[in-house]
Amino acid sequence: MQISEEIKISDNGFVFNSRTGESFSLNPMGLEMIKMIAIDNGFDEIRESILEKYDVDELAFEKDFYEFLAMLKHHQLTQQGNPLDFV
Amino acid sequence: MKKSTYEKPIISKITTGVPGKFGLSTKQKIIAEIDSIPVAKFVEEFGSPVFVFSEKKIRETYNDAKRAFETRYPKVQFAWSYKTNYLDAVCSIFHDEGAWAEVVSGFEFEKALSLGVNGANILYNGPEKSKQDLMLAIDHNASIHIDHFDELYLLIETTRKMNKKARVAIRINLDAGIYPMWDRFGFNYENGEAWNAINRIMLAENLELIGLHTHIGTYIMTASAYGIAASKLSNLMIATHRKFDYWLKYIDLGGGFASKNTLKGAYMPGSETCPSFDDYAEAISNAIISSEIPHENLPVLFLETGRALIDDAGYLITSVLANKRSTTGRKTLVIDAGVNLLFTSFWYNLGVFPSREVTDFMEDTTIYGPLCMNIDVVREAINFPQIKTGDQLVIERVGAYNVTQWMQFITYRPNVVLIDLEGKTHIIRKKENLETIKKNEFNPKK
Amino acid sequence: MAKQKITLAVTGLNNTDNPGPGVPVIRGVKDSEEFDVRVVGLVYENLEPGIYMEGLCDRIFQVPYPSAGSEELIERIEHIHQQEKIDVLIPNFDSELFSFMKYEKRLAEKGIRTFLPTLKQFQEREKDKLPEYGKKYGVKVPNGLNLGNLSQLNEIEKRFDYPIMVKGQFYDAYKSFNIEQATQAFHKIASKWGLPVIVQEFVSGTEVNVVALGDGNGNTVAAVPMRKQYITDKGKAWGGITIADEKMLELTRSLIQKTKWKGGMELELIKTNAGDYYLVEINPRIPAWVYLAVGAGQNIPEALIKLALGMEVKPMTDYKIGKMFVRYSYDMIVDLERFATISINKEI
Repeated sequence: MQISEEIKISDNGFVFNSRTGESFSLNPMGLEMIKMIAIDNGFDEIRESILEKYDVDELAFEKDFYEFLAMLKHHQLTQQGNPLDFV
Repeated sequence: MKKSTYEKPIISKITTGVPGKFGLSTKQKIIAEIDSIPVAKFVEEFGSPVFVFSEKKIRETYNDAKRAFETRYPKVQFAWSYKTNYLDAVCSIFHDEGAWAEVVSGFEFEKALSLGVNGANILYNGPEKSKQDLMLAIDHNASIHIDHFDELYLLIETTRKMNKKARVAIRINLDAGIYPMWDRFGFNYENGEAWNAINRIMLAENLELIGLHTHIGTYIMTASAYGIAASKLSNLMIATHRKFDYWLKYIDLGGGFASKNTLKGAYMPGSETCPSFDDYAEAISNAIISSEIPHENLPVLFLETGRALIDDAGYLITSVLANKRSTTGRKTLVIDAGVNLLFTSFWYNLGVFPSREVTDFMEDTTIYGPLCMNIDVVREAINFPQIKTGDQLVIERVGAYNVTQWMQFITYRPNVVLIDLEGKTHIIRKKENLETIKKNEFNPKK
Repeated sequence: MAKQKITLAVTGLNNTDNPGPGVPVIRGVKDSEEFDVRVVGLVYENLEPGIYMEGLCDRIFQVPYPSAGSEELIERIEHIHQQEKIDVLIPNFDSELFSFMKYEKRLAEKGIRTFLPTLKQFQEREKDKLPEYGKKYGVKVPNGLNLGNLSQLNEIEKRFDYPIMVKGQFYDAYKSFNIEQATQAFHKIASKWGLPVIVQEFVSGTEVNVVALGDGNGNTVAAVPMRKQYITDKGKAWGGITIADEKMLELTRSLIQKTKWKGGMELELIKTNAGDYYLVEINPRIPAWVYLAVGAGQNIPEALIKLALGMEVKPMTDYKIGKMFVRYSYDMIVDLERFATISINKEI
């Protein structure tokens, strides 16, 4: 999963899609995760880092993380493939 | 090293300009306990969902209403509206406080008798009274509130056959300046129908006309409408005295006082706009006292307030079954109580609250019930914090109508619990089981 | 004499084609020779133009809609007050007034002064009560009928000649020429604004308005009459001119005297060809065209601040006749940063 190039992320949690002109807000945890995703961290790396730093169990993290990814995809902030391309 | 508090990661689209009610994170109200008992404890002991009633709150609200009226008017009598909540334990608290019973069916009449209510202290309303119901009411000397001429004539016939007298009042509909005007119940004031009914009853030898009753509508937010209704009934009382030299004994203004719930479509929360008991009492008392009725003949004022007396005392504790996203990305919650238990969610935006501390970040959320039906929506749109699956939520102000209008659909109706004045909990209606449902069924194939 | 320094909080910075009065109110107080005003703009939305206007506000805060609960709105304002020390608050939306009237005392105890109508004054002028209002205060109003259900539509033809005005309790009005149009309008309005739906006889004539300020003791502190010169499809004046109409002023003074009106108000009147004046609506706040009054010599926003602060204000009776306002639209070029800041931080 890659964040599209045209997405600008500010440190106050403001996200701007320069291609579509849409803007978004992140909560602090969302900001932290999107930054990790943006620098190409994989699921395992992000999980390790979050679990080490925060009081959360593995399954809860996994569920939230994938929901977050789904929302990024929904808002077209990630590079889109064909949704029926199951690879 | 102690780890930092985790929060679910959230991204949401910033909507521009369009006036919407959401967006600013505000402090979320939490209901962690009811009468000092932790919410989780109810679920542990009685399962989820579970209705919880506070005896303390019931008595406080009743006494607040009573004080508002008794400090303004010399003769006041409340009658507990059974249809609003006819659980034995709840009715008994109101009767213990001195309320009479107001019933609208043979079933409710029997229930009131079974609780030891004296038949003479029962007001019998409603358009549906069978011959058997009327005989029961006549036998117990109840006040029968006549709804229409057919009922009046049936009553004349029945009293003749029984050779007994019946104590009656008439239900009157009138224009009190509110919308919609209820004209389907009772005799109309403005077109003279009510006056005709009074004349007919005064001539009937077995009927003793003792009162006038009206019920101008439900969830009335303008106290002054009651003032208009009270003066119209007072006018009829004076007219009756002029013609028959007889003073009627009571005026019954029915119910319909608003509770603090917020009606769908209302701009401001109900807790801010709903009139207080004092506002209603002021309007009603002023109207009767300033009428031409001499002070010594002032009628007893009956009130059948239901909703406003019990709504606040009832809570529903429910658990989150699932957190989902709709295809539009909208946040949705599925909880284990739906419209089967929350009939009032059809017209109120019920208050739903977390039972423990949550983070500041709120999202526009839809809350669904557990039924496999599309109409099962508890809240269409509510600005709501992130709640973990399995956590409990508390829905407040559900004491009125829900435990009488609930449906037994695909599952059992849950436990209903009362917290008494000492803070002890009691099951006042047991969770249903297969036997509850099957015991009235017969299967010819087996 | 040095100007008195005050901090003023203002809502309604939505200067769109259906403008709120916030921006003109601020322009008025900035013209004041007595006050040196620091302006705190209170906004509900991130695109209210006032946020982006250079030199208009010193600080801007987003606040929650009153529909989310007055308590939350008031708490937010008290929170802002801790940083900014607000002296006077001028709310500019009808929908806010209930909340601010309700918490008037609480705000005053914290040092935030307002100058608002009383709840009674606010409620008795509501649209569905206009006929009683007219009778009580001796003003001509259009004949009206409140419809509680569709079947009452039949009443219309017995009581009125077409065309008629079909109106919502809070907003919206449709001119109808027959029963079919009236039925349609009824459905549209009832679904949006609830019951009753108000039917009014259509009074033809010229639309004239008065902006006025009552001191709460029956005195008219300011009053400027205006004739609308051009009306947009939203029914808003796009141009207007001050007129010398003693009858309108007389009507205004008499109404303020009888009702003891407190605060700003706008009277919407129709002047018929026969020279009669019909009161169509009373807006319980300063209207968006108030700057015309300032330009004509009556600084109503400044006078309202003085009243709020408990200062003495001499009634203003003079104004320049024939002053005009012409509204215009203007595209500001702004940076994304300001938008991001108000959206994320909820303050600038």
